[in-house]
Amino acid sequence: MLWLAVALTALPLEVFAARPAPFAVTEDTVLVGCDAQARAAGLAPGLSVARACALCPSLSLRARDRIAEGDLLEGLAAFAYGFSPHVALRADGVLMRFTDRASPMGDPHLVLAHVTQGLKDLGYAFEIAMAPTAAMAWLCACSAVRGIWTQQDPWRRAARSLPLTGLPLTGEVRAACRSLGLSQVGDLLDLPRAGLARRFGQGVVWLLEGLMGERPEIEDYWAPAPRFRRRLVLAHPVTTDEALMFAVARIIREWVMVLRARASRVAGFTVEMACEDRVPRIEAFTLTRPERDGQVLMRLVRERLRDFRPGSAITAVTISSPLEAHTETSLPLWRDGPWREQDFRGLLDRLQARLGHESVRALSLCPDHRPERASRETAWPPRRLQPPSGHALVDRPVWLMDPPERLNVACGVPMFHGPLHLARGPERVETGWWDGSVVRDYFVATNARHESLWVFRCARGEWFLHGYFS
Amino acid sequence: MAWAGVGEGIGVRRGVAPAQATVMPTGSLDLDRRLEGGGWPAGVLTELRVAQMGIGEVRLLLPALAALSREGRLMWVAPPYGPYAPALAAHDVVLDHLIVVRPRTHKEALWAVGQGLLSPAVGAVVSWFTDIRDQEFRALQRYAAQGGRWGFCFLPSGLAPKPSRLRLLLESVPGGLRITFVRKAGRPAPPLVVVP
Repeated sequence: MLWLAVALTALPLEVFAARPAPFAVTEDTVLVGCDAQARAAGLAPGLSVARACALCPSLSLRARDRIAEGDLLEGLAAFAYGFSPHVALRADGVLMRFTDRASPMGDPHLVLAHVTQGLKDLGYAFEIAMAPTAAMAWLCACSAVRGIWTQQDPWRRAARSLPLTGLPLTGEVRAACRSLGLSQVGDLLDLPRAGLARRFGQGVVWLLEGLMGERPEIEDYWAPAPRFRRRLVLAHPVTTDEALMFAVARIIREWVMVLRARASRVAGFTVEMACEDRVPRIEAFTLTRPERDGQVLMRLVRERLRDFRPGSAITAVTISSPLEAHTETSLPLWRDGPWREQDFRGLLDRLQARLGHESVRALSLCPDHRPERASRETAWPPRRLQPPSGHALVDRPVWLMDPPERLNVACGVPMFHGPLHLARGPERVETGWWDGSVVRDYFVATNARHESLWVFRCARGEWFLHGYFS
Repeated sequence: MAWAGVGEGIGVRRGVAPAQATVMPTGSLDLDRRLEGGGWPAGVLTELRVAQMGIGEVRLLLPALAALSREGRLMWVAPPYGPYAPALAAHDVVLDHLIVVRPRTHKEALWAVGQGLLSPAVGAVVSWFTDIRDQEFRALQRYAAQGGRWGFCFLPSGLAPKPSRLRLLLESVPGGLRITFVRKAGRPAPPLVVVP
């Protein structure tokens, strides 16, 4: 067995996007995390807020957000799930279990390199360690000792020099160890176990045995959620779309990792923005084709939120989507038919995201003899209606006026920029009593400006312009 | 030259004539003969000036658009009225391949035309503008050149000349549509009257 531990060293900070520097996170009037600039000013976790503010007056403070931290860890676990089916959560990190050499990529060091690269892409501050037991790997990661040990390495000897500070010991045991002059794991291991149990309790002995692989470890493995949901709190409420896109980009980076790990794609998602006026702005996206490419997702959100002015400052962004397994048929080598179809889907998604669903329209033929109902313009996609049978309608205008425009009549002749000359017609169009009983005589007419028009005379003798033969 | 046989587009060597520009026949032999290359040029945003709608300016394009709709998509951005499906179907335009975009603002219209011109899935983009700035037109022209597809832009005839490579003035005369070649590549051509 081989365990890979990833500890996020600045988890309380990571959940806040766009942090102003110097920045610190507090819990119960005590600092639990601070950024590099605050550290340089002499701050450290454990300091009281009053002292911290005295040391560094320009410090920005935020209360710790445990819920967001839980969300972030979920995201990290989903990322780890891409490497190993056995993922265990810790308070500020994850553990992955691998078999000795049958790890997905054969070489444990290669796995390590991939995980490290992935975490760097996500932009977290982290410590990584690998050891044959979970407790040992976690101890190494927590003590910031970059221990990369497999079964072949003399890891038991190397582990002896690890400090005791990373072990989950109670305060009393810790104090007792300090007074006895025990500072390293090796010091504890050298003591007789029976005496150790009597003095510090059986728990410490079990802990040590687990650490050295003498006792089987029991872990609760993480189970993946059927949805992706990630909330990012903005340290400074933003009002512009540029600042918002920064947070969105970060969520999307994580999201793509999760999608890859779960071999799934996105068919639709929602972006929810929590605002200061407590009215959430929700944007829903649907894709014509399930997608996994972060660039495409980013472009969609960017197009929709371009010139987005919510009217109130945004305090948090949430992206959520169901995770569904979508298999994709492979595309041919030549950029031809299927590729072009894919490009077209992308174009449609972009147009709909920026202009809205109602602005991207399709034209379809309707089997209806009333001219204004024979053509239907609807939001994309086009309706599949049965085409009208019979003769091709050649004598139809390219542009149709909806509704028809009423024409003036002078001396019995309809007028539109001068008197109309009826070139062809009439063509009788009739509907029955069920449809308001319409009787029209259509003509093709020209006027003094040589426009070719489609006009009709209704039963009452009124003339209307219905279309342009453009 | 020996290189000419190696492969089209690869043999960029001295002595090889530049590749013929891709054109789409207009459906009218007289018009084809007057246009450089024998049809509507690809990779060019063709500027079409009309004094008023409804003189047959769309029917002038329909033969080429019908051919392009069979292999790619058509995009109509901001048409002035509702396009009428039976008329387009009668001219063999594949209706399933036609996207009608109705942008709310001028900026959105420009963006949509740009997206269409750049997409390899779109065969032709037809757009209607009441006004367009020179630099906006130049940007669209650049997209058209980059995408290598067909672009048509209808503009009112009263506007100042735009920096286009092909500009036609369309006027209605008794018995047809008069096409004046205001600006074109190659030799100047006399005006032409076609029956659309």
